[in-house]
Amino acid sequence: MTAHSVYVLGIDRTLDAEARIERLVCEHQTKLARYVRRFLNDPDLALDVVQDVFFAAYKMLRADPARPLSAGWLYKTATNHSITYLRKKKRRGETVALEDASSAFRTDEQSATSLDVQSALATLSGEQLSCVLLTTYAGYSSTEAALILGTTADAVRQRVCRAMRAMRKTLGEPA
Amino acid sequence: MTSPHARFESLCGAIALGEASVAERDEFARHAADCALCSGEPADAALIASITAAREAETWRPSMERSILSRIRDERSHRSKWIVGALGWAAAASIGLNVLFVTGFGAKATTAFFDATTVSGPQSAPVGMRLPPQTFATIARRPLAPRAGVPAPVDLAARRLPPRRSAPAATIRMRKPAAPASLEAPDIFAGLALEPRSAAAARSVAVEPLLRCDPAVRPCARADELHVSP
Repeated sequence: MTAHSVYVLGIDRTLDAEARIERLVCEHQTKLARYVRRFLNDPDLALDVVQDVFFAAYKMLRADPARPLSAGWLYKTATNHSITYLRKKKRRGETVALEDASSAFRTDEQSATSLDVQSALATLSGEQLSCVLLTTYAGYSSTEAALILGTTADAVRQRVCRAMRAMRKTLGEPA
Repeated sequence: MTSPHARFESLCGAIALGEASVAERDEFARHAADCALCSGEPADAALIASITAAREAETWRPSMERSILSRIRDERSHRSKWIVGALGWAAAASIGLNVLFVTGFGAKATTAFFDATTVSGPQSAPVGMRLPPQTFATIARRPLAPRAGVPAPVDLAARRLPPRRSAPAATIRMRKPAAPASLEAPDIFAGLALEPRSAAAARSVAVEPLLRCDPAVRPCARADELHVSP
């Protein structure tokens, strides 16, 4: 996937808004929901956020049917929604214990790796988390992630490096 | 220009993501060997690989087509209901206004408004008394009390009014004298064959002195000749 295709490759523009949204949902709902769940550490809230993202996409397509819409826009909107929610949560001062958060996961996913990774991801800032998750969970390159986040590829790589450093500290690995 | 440490972090991230080229790996190794701060930085993709492994192990597959499409349909139906409701209210309001104006309710309402006006009467009317609009003209204005050193105010309304003359003892009626038959308007059908020629000629002669106003021909007709009341 090239950097250009992040925004240009989308669903067939000859379809109406509802059909395009239906196809977008079928293609991207699982990846997007997993991405947002890792971001927010809450599956129910992740489903709400993903639904809001698809609904925003529908409203955008209804207003301008010729507008190109792709997975990149979905991830960007989901990232912005998630960061906004994390900021609100931080302002409110809500803290959720790691055990409680991980208990929302399915039993077969409560492996040591998944729990450790989730605990390490929870320590990252929103910007670092978005860079890490876009490049690992969503499978974008640093250039594409930079395009989605509105920054440079070098900045994305630096954030990934700092995120790795922070995660190593959390996991107890040598820095 | 980026600092060498920032460049090192960028190279470290590229190596962790598996995007670094051979030249970039060499640059990273050179900086790690020279810099004391960056020497302990591990540049491997092990952590990224563990995150990727955690992603692959996920079995959560949420299904949201139904909920999203039902929300979209709800929004569409809500919007159409709102539009239909707004159009209905607009039509009802238009019909109501038309009926009001056709039946003359507007004028009645205006009259009723003036009738219901309550004013505090300046002199004769008690406070809060309901007065019809005809009463307003008859209420005398309260004169301002003169103060020392201040010129008396001029009642502009009274100044604009012309002085009222005393009524005459007997009313003189100016009656306009009746016009004689000879001064009636000339008949435009005079030249037609509907009337005898002699009668038309006599009529034109009777009118002739009235039309002669040129002093070169004859002195102008007098007012009593023209029978024009002053």
